[in-house]
Amino acid sequence: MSERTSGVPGERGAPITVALAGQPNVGKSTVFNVLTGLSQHVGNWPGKTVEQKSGVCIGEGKEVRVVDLPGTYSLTANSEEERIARDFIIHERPDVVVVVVNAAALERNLYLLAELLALPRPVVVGLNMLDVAEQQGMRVEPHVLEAALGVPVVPMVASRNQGVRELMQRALGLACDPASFAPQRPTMRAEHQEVLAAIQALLVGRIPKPYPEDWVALKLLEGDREVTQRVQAEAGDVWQEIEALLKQHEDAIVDIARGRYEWIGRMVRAALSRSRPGAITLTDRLDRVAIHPFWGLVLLLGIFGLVFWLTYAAAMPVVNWLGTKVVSSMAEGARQVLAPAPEWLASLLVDGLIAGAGAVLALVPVLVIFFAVLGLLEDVGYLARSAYVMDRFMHWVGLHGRSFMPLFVGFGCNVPGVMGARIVEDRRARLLTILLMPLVPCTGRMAVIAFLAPAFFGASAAVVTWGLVAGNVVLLFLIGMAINRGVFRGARSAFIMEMPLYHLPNARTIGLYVWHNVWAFAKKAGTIILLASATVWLLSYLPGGEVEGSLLARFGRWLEPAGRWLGLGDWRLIIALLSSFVAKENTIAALGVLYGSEANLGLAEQVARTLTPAAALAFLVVQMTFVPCAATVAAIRQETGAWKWPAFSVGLLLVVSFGAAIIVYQLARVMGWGA
Amino acid sequence: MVRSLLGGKGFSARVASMGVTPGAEVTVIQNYRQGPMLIEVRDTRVALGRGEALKIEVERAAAEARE
Repeated sequence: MSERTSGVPGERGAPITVALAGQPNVGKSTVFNVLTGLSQHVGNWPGKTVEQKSGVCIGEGKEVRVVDLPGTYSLTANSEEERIARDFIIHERPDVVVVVVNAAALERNLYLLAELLALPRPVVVGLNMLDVAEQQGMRVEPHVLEAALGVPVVPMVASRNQGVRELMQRALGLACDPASFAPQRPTMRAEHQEVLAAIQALLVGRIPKPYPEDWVALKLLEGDREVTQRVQAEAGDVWQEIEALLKQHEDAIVDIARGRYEWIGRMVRAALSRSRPGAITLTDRLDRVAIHPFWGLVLLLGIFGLVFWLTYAAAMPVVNWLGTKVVSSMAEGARQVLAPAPEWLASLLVDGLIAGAGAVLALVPVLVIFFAVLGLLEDVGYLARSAYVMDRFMHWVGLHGRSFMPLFVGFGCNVPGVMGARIVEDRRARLLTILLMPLVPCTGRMAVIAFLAPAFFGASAAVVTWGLVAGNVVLLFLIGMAINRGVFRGARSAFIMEMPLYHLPNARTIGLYVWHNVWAFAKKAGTIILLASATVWLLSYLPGGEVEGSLLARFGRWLEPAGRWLGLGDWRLIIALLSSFVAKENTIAALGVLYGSEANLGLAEQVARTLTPAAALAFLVVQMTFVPCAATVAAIRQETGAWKWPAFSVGLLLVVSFGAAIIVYQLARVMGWGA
Repeated sequence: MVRSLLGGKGFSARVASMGVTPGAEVTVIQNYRQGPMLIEVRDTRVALGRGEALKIEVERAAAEARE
């Protein structure tokens, strides 16, 4: 990789690498999507829980690798994202860095450019969202800005696909001729130039290769933790001298930032003009309601209800169609084809694998619609507002508004919810968000409730369903408070978050958002659920080939005495509950296998006949709060990096779910619902 | 206008990179008794928790509200 500095890139078949940098909310992902489309590869940065996206595009007849760096406001290593972004630029040495900036917040956006120019890589500026800037009464002259900065500036409206090609052309031009890059670099305030020069002189010949000395000196002065540690380890005897110099300038970080903004101010003075100052914008008007302490909450609840109504109203017909037509005809077909094969093989395929795959398949339409609506809310800028409105309440559990966003995602599926907790910067807060996730009722659980509640409770099914959801939310808060006090000793983290301007949604962005989330679910759930389905089938088949005498039944009967505490004296219900560990919606399939089919009675009605109202309620409560499913357990392991947290989560929820169900059952019996 | 940042290095670096530096003009867009507050600084709207807002010392400019 380090060889690429010499010679012209793109020749000898080596692809050009373009790194895409930018602050959050600048339309960077739109640019990336336009450039790479479905050639994107989404994974993690090695050893990190930060998403890495890269893709390939063809520019000027050459293959170009585009790497999307995490969105960061600066390059000081205070967060994992910032460290990744700058490590990539320093170590991987991309041929050119493209920084996408939001023209409607130009000065703040150029802050990242000021940092990038301190690194020895050529930079091109994509001046995006010019249409938004105009709406805000700002005019930016790209040519004037380019002349001032000495950096190529390409005007763009990426959401309308304007300027993206030109951006690529300029980037490739610079990649092939890096010597032509002659930018204005930010100058330090006079009081810091001296100390910088002194530190730099001490560092000569003492720092590891890829780091530029002037940059290291600057980062030391800024108090960058990572650079400080590295220099402390490598600089040897001069460290004490450096440390003494740094002590005298301890608050330099604020002054350096201020100096950068002064430099930016000079750069944009001629290029930026404002008309109609103080005009009331669309964002102002919408925010009067959307972030109001009372009306904002009303709006959020309304949107919440709408998301669910839309998800189930639109997806349920498709789910039913898949269940009755596709899955059952697949099962039928498989049975016929396998007629000559041994009985056990047909049973494994039909009752084990096809049933399991059907359970995964059934959730896909629900998730597609849920994530389409959520993607829309995120893309127009509403999701950030929901975090703002919920901040007050999240403080009750020692979290802040940002944690609300992954928890919201968790209502669709806990797996992307757990992975989405990455946007919470603070490690402790991220962990707590993840631990609370299994209490968020996902669509899998809601599918079970939607299937059983009408048979159990008739006309009151809707009330019971909402009561169950509310119960889960109350439990989430109670347990959040307990963990926060008990495990984390009430520590708090800072809530600092940009509120982007509202803007029109982009179909492509939402489409890719849906695709990535649903595909991630299908891949993870597909493998784990199939494996687990086969295992459950095996346990229900061995040793005798029928359910009644199987290992599974024996295990269930063994648990019957415990089940009686919550009214579940029937081993089949216990097994159905346990099988929800495979996937929440598996409960339905398990009940189907265990209860068999009686001609003139639906499955839900059959189950309902065996239960008193109190036991039925207890069964739904324990189902709603049961241990996280296998895919979620795997996600928690991946995100926390240790098995102890998924183990903790499973243990905690085992206690919570049985505790809640026992209390509900005993209370319901007192109320006279026991018969 | 921002006078100074009272938080630690990590906090200062974060808010400074979002535009909150001494000398920057800040407009308070929303500030109720409870919950977070919303400010506008360098054409960007930034939500701040109450604890965070207390660490930013400001002085009143002309007709602006004081934090």
